[in-house]
Amino acid sequence: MVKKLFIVGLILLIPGIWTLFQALSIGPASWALDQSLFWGTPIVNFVFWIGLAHAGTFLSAILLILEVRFQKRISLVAELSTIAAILVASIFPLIHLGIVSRFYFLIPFFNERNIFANFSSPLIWDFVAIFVYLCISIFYIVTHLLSLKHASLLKTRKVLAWILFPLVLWVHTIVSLDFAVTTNNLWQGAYFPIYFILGALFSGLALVVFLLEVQKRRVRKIEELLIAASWLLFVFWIWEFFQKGVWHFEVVFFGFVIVQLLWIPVLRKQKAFRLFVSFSVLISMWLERYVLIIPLDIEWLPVDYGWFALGIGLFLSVFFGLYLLIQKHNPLVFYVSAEESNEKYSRKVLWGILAGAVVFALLYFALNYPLDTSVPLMNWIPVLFPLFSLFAGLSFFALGVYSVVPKKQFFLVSGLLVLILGGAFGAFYAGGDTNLGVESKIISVERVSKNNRPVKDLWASRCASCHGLKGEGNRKFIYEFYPEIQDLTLERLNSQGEDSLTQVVLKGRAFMNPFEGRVSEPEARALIRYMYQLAEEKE
Amino acid sequence: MTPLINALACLLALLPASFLWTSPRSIARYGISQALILLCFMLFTFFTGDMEDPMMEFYPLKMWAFCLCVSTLTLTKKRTFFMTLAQGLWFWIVFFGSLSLAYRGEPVNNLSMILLFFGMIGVQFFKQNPKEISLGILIYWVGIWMLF
Ligand code: HEC
Repeated sequence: MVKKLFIVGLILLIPGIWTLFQALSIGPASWALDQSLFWGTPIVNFVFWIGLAHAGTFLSAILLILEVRFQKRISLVAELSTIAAILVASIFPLIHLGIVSRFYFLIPFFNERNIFANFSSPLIWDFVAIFVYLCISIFYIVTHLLSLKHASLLKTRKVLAWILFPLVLWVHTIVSLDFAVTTNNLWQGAYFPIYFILGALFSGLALVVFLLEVQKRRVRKIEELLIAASWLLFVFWIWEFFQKGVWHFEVVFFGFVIVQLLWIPVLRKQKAFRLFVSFSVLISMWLERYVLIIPLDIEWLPVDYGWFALGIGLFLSVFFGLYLLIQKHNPLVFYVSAEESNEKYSRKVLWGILAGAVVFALLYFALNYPLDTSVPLMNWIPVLFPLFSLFAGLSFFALGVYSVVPKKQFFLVSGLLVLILGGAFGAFYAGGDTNLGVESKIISVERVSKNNRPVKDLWASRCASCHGLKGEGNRKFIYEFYPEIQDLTLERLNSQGEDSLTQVVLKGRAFMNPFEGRVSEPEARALIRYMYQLAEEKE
Repeated sequence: MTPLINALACLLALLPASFLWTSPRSIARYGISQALILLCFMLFTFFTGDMEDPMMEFYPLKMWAFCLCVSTLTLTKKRTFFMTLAQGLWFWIVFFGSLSLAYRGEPVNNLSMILLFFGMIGVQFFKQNPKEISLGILIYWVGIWMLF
């Protein structure tokens, strides 16, 4: 069965890779999109897969902390599914970047490149959180595999579980904040963080039910958890109805009604039925994200269908590929668990590393904050916590591995890793050429940051995205997200005067962002004169 | 939300807290009872609260977290641990709820979060929980609830 699913995965990857290729070469036009939608199906799939990734950690790390006994029987499968699902999920935001090769602009390095990481943007938080989440999940599963031989590593595992616990909730909370920053009120709700976490958990549980059945195993407690989660989610759907008056029967049917059939013992005994329920939940949770993100009828393009092939294909091939690999080394690994061990870290080590991690995160903040004091403190916290986790997780992991593998091997491997990672870090830090070679609209950062840039270029790079190249207003961009931009007629400009308009550019007004610090006063004035010129041309 | 209704909400949240964990049930049944309690809080908020006020969006969740916090006082095993977790949930709801409201330009009340955060750290120092301290913690939580 495992081999078959691995092969199914590989086969699905063929249309999957075609989809990826289409999406990257054509861009957003290749999937169903409407002016009001903005994101479309890639983000639906992103939220879906990142949700699936969480169950793995939940079922392994959180249950480990809670000392729930059945955790041992499912932990490795759950951890493996996390890694495969994060990999799938991370594809979608990259597609959205448009220029994938420039993804490293998301890394919140310091301000050397004059492109300051926007700490108010959940895109940065997303990146940091998901990256750290992937790293710690890998440490966690490697520790798990090593601990089967070296029981002393169990203490490392426990510490990592403690780090993962808040981190996993963190990641999905931040996914929910991606929606909060928009001005579309369907995407807002202060209850979203908890709602999203529950949804993630629910779909993840369903996935684990499926993966266990593949191994011909069954853990009743998980079915119980599935029922419990379905009720909680049902209540949240009611709350959403109270808040926004939306009610999606299909989501409730697949995600709640069907799950209640598990109460009937005859049905629940059937393997086929349990699989049916798990798929039903997965469908419901996919639909839930779909109706939230795409609240209208829209015609699908081939790429929209292709995401399924890409997601499922990649997941199956990574999951079962790794599964086969691990099993080859240790055929019983999925059925055994490490012995008990009551070893604990000495207080000195524990607090030492935690303090180090706090210092690391605070140092990062202290070095960055003076560069951009305009970002409120609250918007830093989402980044600081993952940085703290990364430092602490890496330290504990390295310490644990160091204690069990031969010293020579340890230094060799870690030396190599430092070299490779350091090299990559340096390369990203240096960044590539930011000039894309498209003359008219996109201006290289070097040129923009010099003071005497031509005003037309400045307009094109800074203002045209909203106001249009000719000042006609970019309807596509402002629709839904900003109120209609005023028609900038000569009359209207005259009525406000150059001075006050310059102030609007620098200080912002309503939905017009403040540009102070990004354009100088004379530049703002020049831009206003340019706007006059555009308005005159129009008349 | 008027102070009176807020106080009523506090009472309502205290009600189920005392018998949440008394009789052993299956996980599914625990889940259902949690869901139904949460539903009651939502109905309460919907019918008494001013739904135009964005604070109401996570008000029932706050009630739920508050209820869970108080219910940990009835636990006999691993009490400190679950106290920390429940306060963590409350903190989480308020912190991220406020953050998403802050994006819409709503004012944020930092003080309640700071108090909750200190509550999480504070309970670590009361591993042995005599009655008086439980009462003190209860008052601390009710205080946070009533004032913010
Ligand atoms: C993110 C979209 C966006 C960008 C980028 C942007 N603007 Fe605006 N701008 C707006 C919106 C929306 C308004 C209407 C604001 C309001 O409600 O008063 C506006 C208003 C203005 C006004 C006031 C017009 C009036 O009649 O009241 C001026 C002047 C202006 N923008 C200049 C600029 C300049 C110069 C730039 C580039 C440095 C720029 N804008 C970039 C969205 C944008």
